[in-house]
Amino acid sequence: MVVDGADRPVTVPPDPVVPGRRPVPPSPVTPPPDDPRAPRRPSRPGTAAGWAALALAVAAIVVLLAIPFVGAATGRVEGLLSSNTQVRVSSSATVLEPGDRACVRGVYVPDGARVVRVYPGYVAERSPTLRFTVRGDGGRVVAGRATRFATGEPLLVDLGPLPTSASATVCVHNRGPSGVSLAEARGHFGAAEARPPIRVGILSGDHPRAVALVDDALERAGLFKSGIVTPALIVLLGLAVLVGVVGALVLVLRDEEGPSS
Amino acid sequence: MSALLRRLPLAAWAIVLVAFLHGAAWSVLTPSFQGADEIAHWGYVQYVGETGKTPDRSSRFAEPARDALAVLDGMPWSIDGQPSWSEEADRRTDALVDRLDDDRANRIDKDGAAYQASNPPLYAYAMAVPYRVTGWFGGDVLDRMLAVRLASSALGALAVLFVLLLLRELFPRRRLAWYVGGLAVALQPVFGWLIGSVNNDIPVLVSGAALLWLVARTHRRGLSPGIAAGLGAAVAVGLLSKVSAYGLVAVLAWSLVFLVWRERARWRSAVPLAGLALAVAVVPLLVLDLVRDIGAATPAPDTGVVREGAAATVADPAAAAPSRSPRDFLSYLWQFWLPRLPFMDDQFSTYPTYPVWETYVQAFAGRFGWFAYGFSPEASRGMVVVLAALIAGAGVALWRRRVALRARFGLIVALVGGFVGYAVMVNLRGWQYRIDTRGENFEQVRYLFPMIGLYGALVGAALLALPDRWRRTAVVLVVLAATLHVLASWGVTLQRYYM
Repeated sequence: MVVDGADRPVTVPPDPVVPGRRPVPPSPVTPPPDDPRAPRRPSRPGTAAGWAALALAVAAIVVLLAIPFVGAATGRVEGLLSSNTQVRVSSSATVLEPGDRACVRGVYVPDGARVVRVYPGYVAERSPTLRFTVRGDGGRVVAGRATRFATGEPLLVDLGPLPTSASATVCVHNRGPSGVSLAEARGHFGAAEARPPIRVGILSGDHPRAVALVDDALERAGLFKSGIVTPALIVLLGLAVLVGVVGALVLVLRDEEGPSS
Repeated sequence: MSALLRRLPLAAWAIVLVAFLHGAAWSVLTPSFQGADEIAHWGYVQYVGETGKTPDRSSRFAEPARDALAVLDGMPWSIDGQPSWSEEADRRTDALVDRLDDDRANRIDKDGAAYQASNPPLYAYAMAVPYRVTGWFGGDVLDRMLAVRLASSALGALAVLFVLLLLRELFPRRRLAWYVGGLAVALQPVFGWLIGSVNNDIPVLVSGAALLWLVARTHRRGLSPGIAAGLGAAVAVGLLSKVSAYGLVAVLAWSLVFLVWRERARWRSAVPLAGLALAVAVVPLLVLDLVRDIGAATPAPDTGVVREGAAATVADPAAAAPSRSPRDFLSYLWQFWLPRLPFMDDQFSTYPTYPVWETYVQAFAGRFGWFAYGFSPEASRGMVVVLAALIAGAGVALWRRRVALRARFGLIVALVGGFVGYAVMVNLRGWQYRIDTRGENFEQVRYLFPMIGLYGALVGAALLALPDRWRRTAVVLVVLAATLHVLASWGVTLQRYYM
């Protein structure tokens, strides 16, 4: 004798002799299912008012749960166009003493880029003047400077329209009077690197809404993957999950409570 | 077993399919190599897939094969990547990968597995099948990686099948309870993300779920030679895939104590069967260890991983090695789970808050990639509410059925004790790792996922606390919340990598 979760002891029947068949409980008075006298499966909550209340409750909860989603989707993002990393906290940094310069090569600068972002670690009481230059593939140089910035905050410098380039060079020159540490883009194979480049980001300067970037994001998600991974496939698989969940839920709710085997 | 599967209702198969689709969706969403430790796991699979041999060296640094390295160098969002989502760079990388793929030597590097090379090879051999099949159809490294990720998703779905079988044993007359528990597992976002990557944790999930199911089944139906061999085989699969799966042996041993006690009237046959289960579990690994030095000198990974946010910890090379005394381990264990007492040395000084909160609760709510991004701590607090509600609900359900459940007390103790034992074993590994690496952290929530069947059981049991008329509504709401959780996780992933 064992006990299941149904508040009463039951004797577990042995596995059925015929595979795939359930033991049928004796029910001599049960009419066949197509008989009009056959009992109907009780619907729950059972009444129209009950269903309406349930629908309202579910709708209310859906709305409540959806609020953060709507907020997140319509919230504004940085408008990052390119970066040599997106990890925002560094375990290593390059110190730029007054007069030092650090350059990053191979930076992709797409159309619409205006802003260069770096991550100052420690900044002295009087922050140094940093001069930024972006040299495009064609040799065009855009420059600008930052004079006052804080420790631990990303430093964004709007240099105006940057030269569109597949492989630009971004340099930071410390004009003094104090030193500054800048986060590095240390790699997986960091120990083998003589000196990792500093982290840079290239931004558009505006702050588009996240929802407006979904198309771009899906395009980007298809890059550097198998050729069959396209935005359409990603969307299709996402929808397949949702459809699968709905299908599973329908099957679950249709399934009568009772012995499972 | 086949008869058992044939008797599974369609709804259960639909849940298994949802689990696979969930993993598959993550496999196309996550950038290449951005699963946890995916560079080294890929290196292992690729080496086995190409050579049929296991990599024989453990190296602190991953040195991927040239084709994988070309992808790593070309990718914009890897931790060491070149900039941009440039389509031109993508085309350039594709062309380079195609060119490298022509020469098999570019696909082989015995140091590609790096610090994973000390793990047993079962997962890598299993994944070598989709790897090779994709190669026969002309697939390059990126195609092969997708194929392996999808095969891993199928393995994850298999784990969900075992979770459903476990829940059926636990709630034999309450299908809604096991369905909702299964759906909760299938739609757990970190679970979905993990099974959509290349990682040898995935067979351990299957192993753990199968073990829990067999333990529950044995408690209902008794210990037989077949079941004993099955119990051992479930553990063996985990042990042959990952060294640190040895926590499963603790779960098995603990369960066997209760199983033998339950069958004490015929102990003469029960004890040898317990021995058989243990032998089947560990002998294959011991034999393999004779052939190959499993688990020896596992070097700490040095991936240059920079962890964002609270869990960020960096070993201090100058720090003294922590002591190996049992007392220190107990202190470590206590501090991991509970607030530190005044007389204890602070073993988690690098954690801004509580280790268990950051490592398990916050990560269970959602930390992805190289555990470098996820939900904010504020959003993650919702998970505390959810878990507290589930535990309270399950407690109420158990209390109401306390008289009826007396006969199953042994099973409950075996499962709960098994979870505790497994968690302690993860901490033990973490403590050893911390000593070996002079302070780096080991524990991650994915290491608890072999016990994820118990999370499903918790959800199912909590459902039984509700009046019967509310259960279907509750199932709808649970599934709705779980789906929104998945959508939110995809949202933060899109934002992390692609916006």
